[in-house]
Amino acid sequence: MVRSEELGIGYEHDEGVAWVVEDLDLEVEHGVVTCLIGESGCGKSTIGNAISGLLPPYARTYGRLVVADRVVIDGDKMNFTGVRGKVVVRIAQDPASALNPYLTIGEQLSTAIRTHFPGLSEHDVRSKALELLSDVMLGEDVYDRYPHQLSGGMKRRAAIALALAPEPEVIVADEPTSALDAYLKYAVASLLKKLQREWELTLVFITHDVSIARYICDQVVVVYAGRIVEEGASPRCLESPSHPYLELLLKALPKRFSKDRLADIPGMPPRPGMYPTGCKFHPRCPYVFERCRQEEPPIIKAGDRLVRCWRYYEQSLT
Amino acid sequence: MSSLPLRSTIEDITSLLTRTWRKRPGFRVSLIIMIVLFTVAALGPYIAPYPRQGLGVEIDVTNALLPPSPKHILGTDSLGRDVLSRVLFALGRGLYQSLVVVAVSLVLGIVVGSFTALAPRSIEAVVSYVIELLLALPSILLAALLAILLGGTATSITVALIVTWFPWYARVSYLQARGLRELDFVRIPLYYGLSRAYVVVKHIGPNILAPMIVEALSDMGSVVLEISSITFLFGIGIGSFEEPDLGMMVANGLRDLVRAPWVFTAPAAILALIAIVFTVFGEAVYEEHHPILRRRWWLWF
Amino acid sequence: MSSPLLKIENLHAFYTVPLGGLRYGYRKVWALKGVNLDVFPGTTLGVVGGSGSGKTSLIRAILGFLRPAKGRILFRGMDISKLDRRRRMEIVKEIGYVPQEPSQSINPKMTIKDSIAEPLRPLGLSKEDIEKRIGVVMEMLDLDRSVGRMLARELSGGMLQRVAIARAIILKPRLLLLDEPTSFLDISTQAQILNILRDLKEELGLTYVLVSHDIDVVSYISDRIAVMVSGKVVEEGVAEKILREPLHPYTSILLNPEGVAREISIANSETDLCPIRSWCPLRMKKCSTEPPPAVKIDNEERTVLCWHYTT
Repeated sequence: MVRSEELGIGYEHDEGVAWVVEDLDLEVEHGVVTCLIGESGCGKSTIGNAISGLLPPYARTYGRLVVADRVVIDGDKMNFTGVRGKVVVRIAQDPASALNPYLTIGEQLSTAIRTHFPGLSEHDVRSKALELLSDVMLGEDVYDRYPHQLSGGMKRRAAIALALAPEPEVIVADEPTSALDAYLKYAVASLLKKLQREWELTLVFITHDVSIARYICDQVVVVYAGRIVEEGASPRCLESPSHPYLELLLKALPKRFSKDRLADIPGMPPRPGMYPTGCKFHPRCPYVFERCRQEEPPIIKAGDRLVRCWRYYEQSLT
Repeated sequence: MSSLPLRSTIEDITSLLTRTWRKRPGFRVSLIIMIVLFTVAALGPYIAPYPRQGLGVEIDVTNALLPPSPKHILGTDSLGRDVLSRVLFALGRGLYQSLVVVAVSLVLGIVVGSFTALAPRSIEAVVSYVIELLLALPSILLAALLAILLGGTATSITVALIVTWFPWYARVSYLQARGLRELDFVRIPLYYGLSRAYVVVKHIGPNILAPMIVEALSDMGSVVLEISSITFLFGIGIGSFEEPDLGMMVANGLRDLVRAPWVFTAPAAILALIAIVFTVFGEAVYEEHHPILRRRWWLWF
Repeated sequence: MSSPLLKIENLHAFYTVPLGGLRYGYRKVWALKGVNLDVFPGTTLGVVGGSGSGKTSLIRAILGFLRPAKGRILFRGMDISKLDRRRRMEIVKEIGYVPQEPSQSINPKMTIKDSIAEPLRPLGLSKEDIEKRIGVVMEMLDLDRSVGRMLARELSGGMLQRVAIARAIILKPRLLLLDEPTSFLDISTQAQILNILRDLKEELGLTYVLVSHDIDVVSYISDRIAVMVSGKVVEEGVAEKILREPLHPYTSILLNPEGVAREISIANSETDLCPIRSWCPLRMKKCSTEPPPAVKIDNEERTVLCWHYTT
């Protein structure tokens, strides 16, 4: 559904281009929830914006990106016509900010439906809008209400319904749970999961929250310094990590019943455009050896997953 | 203590100016013209062909209203004074006056505004009302009033303009300081018992200085125009007919517009140039600083 | 048991907010509605709650940023909300504060060294003395000497949070108030800061009040935990026991949010009634008519604000 080949994305600035994402080979199959996990500044939002066609005009690209059998990025050319907002939609961190406070939810939904499905009768438009509302578990009474008459949670759901109005195939959700209280996080995640299953959507879920990722995802992609460092077809790699970065990251999370000292990952994540040579994680890695400093490891198949680490190179040859 | 904070403010301003320079041709042109204007104004008294006439202490009625000639490049006015020399002297005074107005208003405004934001509720309310009251005063009427009270000098106009301009800066810096006072780096020193004056000088001042300077840069043009409209309407005061001033020269030239258009044209053109150049300069910097206001000029049509 | 270092009794506090719309006027929003807490020397009290639960207001009230409308805040037996300025300055030295967002707590136009040294200024110490104390705290927090000459924008969030901690401990306080010290940080930086906080407590014998929305962060360094909802403490007790066996239904949800997976509402109304009465599984008739009582159980070790546990 979404496939990238050696995709690179960078941003122009005064002294040139800062490449935020490099050599990205990502493959997301139809009807799967993929989680992009990473810390701030690792490039996960840039990948999300690229898939949803929302890169700013000063972005530069190379490689290829294919969304729903359409080549949207080819070299440094981008063409999202007919894909953006139709095949792919993005749900931002605060989706409720997408609602117009001066129009009722019904008016906003039917405008969106009319735009994407011209020729529908007024009756069909209305019934489609009501269907959308019931999909996000909102009652029919919401149709005639203004956003300010709804609670925060209802607004969020109405905005998700609005995003679904064009009947997209891919949804990119960029940190939809980050500013929420714990119990609301799971409510939003489970709603997205339910919609994904019912509509057979492809969901790209961008988060830094490992517990939410574990709850929702089918496929896990761990991003560090603009690269995929570990990719697995199941949340299992969040239980038994292979890449040293993921291993340390999981050990750095406080566990409820353990007072064992948390793992210190020394140093800080590198800034875009200032990535070190060789393996991008080598300055912070406890297992570092000579080759890591000089050569960047390729993505290596190790058991049920892909890892970008020289430690798995030998065993992959045999 | 250390000069680093001040340096960072200067860096902020210079980086804003270089960024604007790179992106906006209008800014480049206006900045070059401004530099030329300031140079000419500074050198004016030395390069003026008839400095005594320029100052207004010497008149030569026999040569009144002569058209432009090699001897008087821009002609002479109704009292026989060389218009070029007059303009050169007037330019320097006008620019100097507007710089003083903007600089004094800016400093006064920042001090008043930031102390108001930290003051107890009752004082805060009173001072805000006073500032708003001053904002409502038309500067031209105030200048006329002060001219009567202070005896009609250039100083009275400067004071009048400061009184009407500083409330703008006071209000803008008050609003900015109000945003800052909720932040922890302002609350923590107050918690540890440091004085308000310390907080204003160390925390609020440095953080609102750069945006306030941008604000002031974009106001220079309006100040020059305002000074000139006051002198155009009222003169500088009784017995100051000799003083070189662009607004007053325009007013005087207007009387002889038909017989000697050069007397009017030269100061009017300089005035228009200053106004346009300063406005273009200020707007460019302001829009670069607040990118959201870009294309604001669409609203004018 | 020794006497508490900090004792909060029936604390009430409110904010005034504009009415909104086109109406002129203000209304009160109660942020704290009768909070009772004891913090014993050398221990950590973790305060957990969702957004709008009043946990940050509690810290602000202790610091004096928010004036209590009712109730007392006793520090070493003195009510610190009613002290005159001079006595207050003495107390202030013993209470340090680490705010939530490092980018808002460090002046971006000031050198890091000046920021750290700020609490020392009113004391009138000599220059060498100040330098020495800055050196000591910077070493404690693993901050390089060269950092002192930098400005805030040159540092990352984690570094800034260390600077904020350095400033908070430079007066050698006894009590440190930590308001979500890691919520703006990444996982790896969060671990660094939490480890530092744990080490500092050992080294300096500090007492912490740690406020957070993340119960796992709280459980990592807390001895006791207080759960806040809608301006009230609904459950308080030994950390281990609360984590293993939560009694209040809201605590169970905080500990096991996956189990809910639907949106629940917290009534933030002005009434004193239980804020979760609309969906609580242990709901009784009394819940919608009378405010819940504070029930002491486990040999007075634990407090639960719930009708269900009255016998």
